[in-house]
Amino acid sequence: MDNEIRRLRTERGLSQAALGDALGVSRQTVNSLEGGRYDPSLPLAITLARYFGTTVEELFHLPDDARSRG
Amino acid sequence: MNTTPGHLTSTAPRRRISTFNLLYLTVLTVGGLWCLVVGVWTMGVVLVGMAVVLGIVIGRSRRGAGTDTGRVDAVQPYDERERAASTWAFAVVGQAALIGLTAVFVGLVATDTGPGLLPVALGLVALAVVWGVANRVAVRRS
Repeated sequence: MDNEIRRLRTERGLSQAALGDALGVSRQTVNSLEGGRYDPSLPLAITLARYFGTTVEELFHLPDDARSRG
Repeated sequence: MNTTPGHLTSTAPRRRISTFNLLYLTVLTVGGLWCLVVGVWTMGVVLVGMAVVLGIVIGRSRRGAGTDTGRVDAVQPYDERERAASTWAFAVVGQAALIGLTAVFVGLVATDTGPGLLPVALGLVALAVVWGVANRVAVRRS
């Protein structure tokens, strides 16, 4: 699933390891999330959205949604 | 968990030792000590040595050190993604064990190898029972 995690993380000047520490997940998991290879559980998705001060729908979107927005 | 942007911990908390590792370590340690007590020295030393090495690997993985593959190998997943990977990998192990043991059983029956048949048959039944129970637990939990 596409997401805005990498953009929001880099905007805040965070490393993947630092974001992983804050969320209680590994650096490798942050990398997988950013690459869209791993879809998080609902609790982790909500935690991520709250961390970045946004909503789950704003943070994650289906590939079709991205095409329709473009 | 504090998820405010300013809160970043540099050291990960130690995770609880997994149930699998607790049972596996117990089997290795008790088995190794049993072998030493009854005088089967070589196997006793090998089993106790395996327990010590496994304990060191588990200790490192509990602190989140190493790679994700290493933690999944040590059955000490650090987060939900590694737990999912470990669950998937163990499902493959279960399928391989069922297919492999069934193939061995069929081979023993076909070649009429009497003495080896009973342990393999009992192992196959035990595996099938565990599979059935696991299926029911998984369905009830979902």
